[in-house]
Amino acid sequence: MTGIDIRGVTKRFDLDGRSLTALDGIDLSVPEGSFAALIGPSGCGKSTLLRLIADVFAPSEGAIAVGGRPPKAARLNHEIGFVFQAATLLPWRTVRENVALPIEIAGVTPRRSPEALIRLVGLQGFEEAKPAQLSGGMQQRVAIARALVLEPKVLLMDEPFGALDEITRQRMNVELLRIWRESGTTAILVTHTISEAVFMADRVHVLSANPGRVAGVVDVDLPRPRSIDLMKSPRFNALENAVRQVLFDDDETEADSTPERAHG
Amino acid sequence: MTSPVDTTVDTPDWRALPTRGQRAEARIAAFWRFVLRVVLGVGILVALWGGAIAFFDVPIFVAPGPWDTWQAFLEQGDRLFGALGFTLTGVAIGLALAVAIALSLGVVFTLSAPASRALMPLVIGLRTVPVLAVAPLLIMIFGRGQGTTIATVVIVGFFPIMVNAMRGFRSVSHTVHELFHVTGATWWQLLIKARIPFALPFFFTGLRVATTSALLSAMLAEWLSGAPGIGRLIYDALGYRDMPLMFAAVALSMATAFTIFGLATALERRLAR
Amino acid sequence: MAKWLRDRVAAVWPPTAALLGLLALLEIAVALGWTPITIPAPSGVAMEFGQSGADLAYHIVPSILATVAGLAIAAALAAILAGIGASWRRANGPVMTFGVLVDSTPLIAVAPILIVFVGGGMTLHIIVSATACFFPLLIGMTRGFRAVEGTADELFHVLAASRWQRLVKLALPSALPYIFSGFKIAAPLAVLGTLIAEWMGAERGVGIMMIYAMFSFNAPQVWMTIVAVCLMAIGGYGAFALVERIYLRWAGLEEAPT
Repeated sequence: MTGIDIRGVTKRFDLDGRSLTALDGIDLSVPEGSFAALIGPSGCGKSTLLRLIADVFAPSEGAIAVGGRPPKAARLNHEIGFVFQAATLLPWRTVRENVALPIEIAGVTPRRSPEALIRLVGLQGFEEAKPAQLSGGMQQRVAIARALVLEPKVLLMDEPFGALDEITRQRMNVELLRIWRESGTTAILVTHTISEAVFMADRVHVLSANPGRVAGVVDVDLPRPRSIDLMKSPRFNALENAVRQVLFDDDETEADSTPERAHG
Repeated sequence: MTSPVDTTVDTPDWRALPTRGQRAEARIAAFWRFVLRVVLGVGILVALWGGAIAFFDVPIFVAPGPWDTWQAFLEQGDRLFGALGFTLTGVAIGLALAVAIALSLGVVFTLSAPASRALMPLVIGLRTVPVLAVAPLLIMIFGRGQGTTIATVVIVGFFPIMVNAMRGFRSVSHTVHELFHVTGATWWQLLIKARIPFALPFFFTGLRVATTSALLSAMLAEWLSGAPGIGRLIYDALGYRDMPLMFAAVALSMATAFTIFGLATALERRLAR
Repeated sequence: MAKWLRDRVAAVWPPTAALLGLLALLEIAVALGWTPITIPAPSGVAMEFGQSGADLAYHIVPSILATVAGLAIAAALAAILAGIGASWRRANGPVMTFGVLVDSTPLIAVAPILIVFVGGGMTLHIIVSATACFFPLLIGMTRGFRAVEGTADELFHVLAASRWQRLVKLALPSALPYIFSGFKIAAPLAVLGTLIAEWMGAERGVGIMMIYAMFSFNAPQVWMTIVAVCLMAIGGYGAFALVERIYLRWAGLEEAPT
């Protein structure tokens, strides 16, 4: 029982007395050391699912296992690295101090120093800079370094490159794959960009919205290490189309599944 | 540079959004809750007050309890309200003058950049200073009547109104300026159609600040100058040792200040939306 | 480096010139006899500083002490109440209502009541001063405690930080800009509070010196005390503004919250 295992997870929220079902009966597993992408339209609960894994809140039904243990145990044992949509660096700390934050909190000495991680994400020389002096892409790289400093078992990323332009984003994707390969963690990336999902992942999980359910799964058998050139290949486009199919097919399926549907 | 923070649910279901009727209901409910809180708060204070007086057996010539104060209120009501009326008249006139002067100067500063660069920093610097400190000076200049009260309110109220109005005029974004320029608008049209509407929320904030400090300033000026307003009444009552009257006057002035604050804030919220 | 300096100079010289110009005009007007007796020449006020300097020093010290003490007490109370308001949602309403009540209490109302209980001495001045500057401090601290942005909170949760770690590493640094901003606004108000309290009755104090000067119709001395009070207020504001700027620069934050 390694990697991440999600069984029958349902999550309901109470908004001013009304109940909203964000996720309904999610079954999903991510093998240890693999890279999974979660993609879906707005409202499909992908960010919520990520936060359930990170023990930000608990599922209403179902169970989640992170490395064989419940999320809370994993979190308290500092086995989870989380990268937010907004870099969320503490503005009064330098890059090095930001990366060192988990070390201070956990009170352990990791194998690799913050400096090593800063080098890993390609920001050597910026150790003493303050976040305000960095670009958005650089801030996210610091956030990634911070998420990896305690060598977590799991790396969760919530649309980390959503705010970047496409060119920077693709560069960051290549960087992230390199960093991930070197760290060896299990990674889950939430994204709303089809090309990003296919480029990064071993398996793309497509979610539908209202309520969030697993609509389909696309296995990406492209060889690693992956380069940008790969995106020109027919195989890549075919995989993108497969994902697209599940995403948009889903809309049609919904329209068809009205009770009044006439023929069989 | 970063995108907005995601909420815990990806997108709320549009059917979960409140309707207009529900929003109005919510506002009314909030209002009543506010009133309830105020009444409760005041009630607790009055109870504590009465309790303290009774517990420590404080004689009436030192400090009256709520009941005695209420008596004084009933008996000398016209004197109290007369004094309050005098003060409020001064406040009203002073505020009107302050608005007129502040807005005219504000427009001048907005239209003339050199004047603004030279004089605005001085105005902002003066804002730091407790302008009420000039009250004795105003008494020397204007004598002991309502003139001093009005002058004090004008000086105290002028700064917040003008500074905020200027902020408002300046808040017109660069792209709006470009829009007006490209469509060939005159400076007058820019003023009326862009600057003033953008400035309104700021103006009302400034007005709220000015109004709330106006009453205190007026009362203080009166107390120092001897003009027959409620400030002077408090001082006089203290002099005669008529404590119930003094407490009644204090309570009345506090209630008035609180009400003015509430009205000014409500006005600001309604009109600044 | 030169540009930075040039920008500074460009911003400073128009108001300085305007100020000096106005003072010069005033000087001339007085010399020509255009102004009433209540408006003396700036040179006259400056001379008064020289003449009554010792007296001023004698009076200004207790005023400064009362102001500082008032600020400290108001800050302590504001910190406690803001902390309560931040920890318990329900407490927030009453705390704010209390703050508004204190803010709308005309000082002229508080002082006579207090005189009855604590007499007319330093205690009165400190309490009135604290009352005058309490509300901005409460607002500053409340905003400060609330200033932690949502994802930063999530981050600390995912990192499994203890409550104490969260307070020291996240809440406090986030709160400081707002707290300094509150102090900036509160300092001149505390000066005003002390002044008003001294007007009500004091042995020593700038306020009472001003009243004496008013009754003796000594215009230069009235103006001098007013300038002294202004300097006190600007000094207090400036001190906190300086601390705020130093912190912001160290913390790498761009702008102070208004």
